[in-house]
Amino acid sequence: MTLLTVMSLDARHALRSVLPHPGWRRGTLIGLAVLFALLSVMFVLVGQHTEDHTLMLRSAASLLPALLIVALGVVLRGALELDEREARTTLLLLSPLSEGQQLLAPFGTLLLLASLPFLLLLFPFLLAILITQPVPTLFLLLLSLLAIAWAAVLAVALTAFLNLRLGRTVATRTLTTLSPMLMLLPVLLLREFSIQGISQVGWWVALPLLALPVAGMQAMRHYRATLLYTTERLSATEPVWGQVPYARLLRRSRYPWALLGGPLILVALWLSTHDLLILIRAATLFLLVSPVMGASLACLEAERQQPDRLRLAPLGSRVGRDLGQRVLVPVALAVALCLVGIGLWQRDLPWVLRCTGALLPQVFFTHPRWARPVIAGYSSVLAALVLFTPYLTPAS
Amino acid sequence: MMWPSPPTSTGPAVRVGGLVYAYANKPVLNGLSFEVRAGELLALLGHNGAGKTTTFRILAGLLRPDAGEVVIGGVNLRDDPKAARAACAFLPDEPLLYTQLSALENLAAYAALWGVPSAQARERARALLQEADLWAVRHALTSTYSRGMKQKLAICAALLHQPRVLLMDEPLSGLDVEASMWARALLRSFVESGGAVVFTSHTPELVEAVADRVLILRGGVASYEAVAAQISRDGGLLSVFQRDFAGSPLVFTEGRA
Repeated sequence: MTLLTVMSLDARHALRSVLPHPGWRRGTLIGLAVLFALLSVMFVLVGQHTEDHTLMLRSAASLLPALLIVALGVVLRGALELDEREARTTLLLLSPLSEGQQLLAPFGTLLLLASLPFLLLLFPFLLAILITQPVPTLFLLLLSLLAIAWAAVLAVALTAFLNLRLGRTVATRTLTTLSPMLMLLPVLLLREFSIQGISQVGWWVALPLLALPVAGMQAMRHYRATLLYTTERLSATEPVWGQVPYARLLRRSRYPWALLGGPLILVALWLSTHDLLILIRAATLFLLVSPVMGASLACLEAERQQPDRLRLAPLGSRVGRDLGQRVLVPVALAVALCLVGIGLWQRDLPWVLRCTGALLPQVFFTHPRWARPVIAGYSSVLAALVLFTPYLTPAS
Repeated sequence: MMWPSPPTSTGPAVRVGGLVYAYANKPVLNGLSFEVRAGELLALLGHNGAGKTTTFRILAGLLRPDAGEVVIGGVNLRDDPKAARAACAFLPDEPLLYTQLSALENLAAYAALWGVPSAQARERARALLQEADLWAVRHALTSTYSRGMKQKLAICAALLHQPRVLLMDEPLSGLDVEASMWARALLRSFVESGGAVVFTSHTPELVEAVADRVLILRGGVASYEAVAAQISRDGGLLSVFQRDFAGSPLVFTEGRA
């Protein structure tokens, strides 16, 4: 097993965590991200401010601290995924990689992940102004690379600290709550990051340059140690007899913790004075719906992995039907809320009614076998609506 | 002990007649027939791919046979699958447990799925977990259990609704010596109380020690069937297997239903 193989496997797993929707839905989300990047490039190249390259450079620089926080969120999410895979750590230790490579493997993966938001948001700007302002652009590029590295180091250190202090389970829950907030809040509060001079931003990032390698290695050592040595004895309380404890299964998954960040993001979204594109607002709402879908899938997961249990049990079909209802109703409500949110911003009630009317009947496909594709359907329809509906243009 | 529930018919606990099944036109079972009486432990043996698991899945109602019939506890599986399923318990080789639930929570889930009244379920769960030496770890999540502990819990879950027939695919795999002895004693106690057990194993010594009767599958039919005493006269199960592997025709001996 080579370092590259380990890193590519880790990256794949971590990417699945950042984009937690399997199969073609992940493909759709990646497609959306690529489309977003292409739109950004087009916006930069043919937009209204293309002549004022200095302004563009300063705008790009102002994005940097926000992107650092976004990258931190992405990396935390990746670290969380690695955290939950004990077998991976064992496999890494058994592999013939040197200790240095064993440390580098997850760190390299996290670095790759941290670079994603920069690649998507910053590089189009930098590419556009590289020819006319090469020196400051290259300086900004260097700063971006440093910011990526710092995001990875900070995420690793924070994960190790939380693992050590709170235990892996609580740490995982905390990270699950933190990571989406970190990914979204800077985007929503964009105005809070006023346009600053490049040099000012540069000092903040470049000053601790010498400390970066040492900090990185230390963080990775701690992180690896916590992965190896923090084991917990998980226990439960007396069950409620007469029902399958799906609520407990849900509570023990990490999804409800992701919901905790939701209200904060909603408040930020509501209070945001920045004239955000409806696209960003809609995408944010879409991301808020994701944990609800994830939580629903967590309930279904146990039965999906071992479908024989419900098939064998005499009351299996009834329990399965009840489960399907309990899972799909909150998902449908969340989707409806998302649509209403978008519709209110657009002041287009008929559109809301049409979309809600089209999506809600799916809630009657209550068997667990159907619940998963239905949730996948909701997810993709929402994504398509966010991207393609002609109503999703900035409200006048 | 409180198992199994009293039989509702005087016939065999399990009756399989002319079972035919094919996976994508590849025949697996070609008219398999056998019976298991109440109070009997039948070992269903055969090489990998011989059709043991397919037979179990048909008996458990998870697969519908292309032809033939299955009667469990006097109930035809085709006529009343729910009642037939309620009369038996199936333990696949991989325990069907919720890994993010504790032992007690798993048993609560099984009780709800099999319609066992809460008060009875609670009492039975306590007795079973104490019997399986899992009471002390009843609140620990099963993700923290060893393979043997999971297997013991799966056996407890299977017995919770007092089935009359136990279908067990490799029931003793992963168990340590002590746990294996516990499981064997439990199976013996179950059949002595009037239950019937059909199980598979890849360990001939274990089968000879536990089974009342052995049935070897080859080519989708029973190629050898004998009671324990006859197996000894045939030179032991290992010798029978060697002849089976060599392709020698195996002679049906006594014990044929």
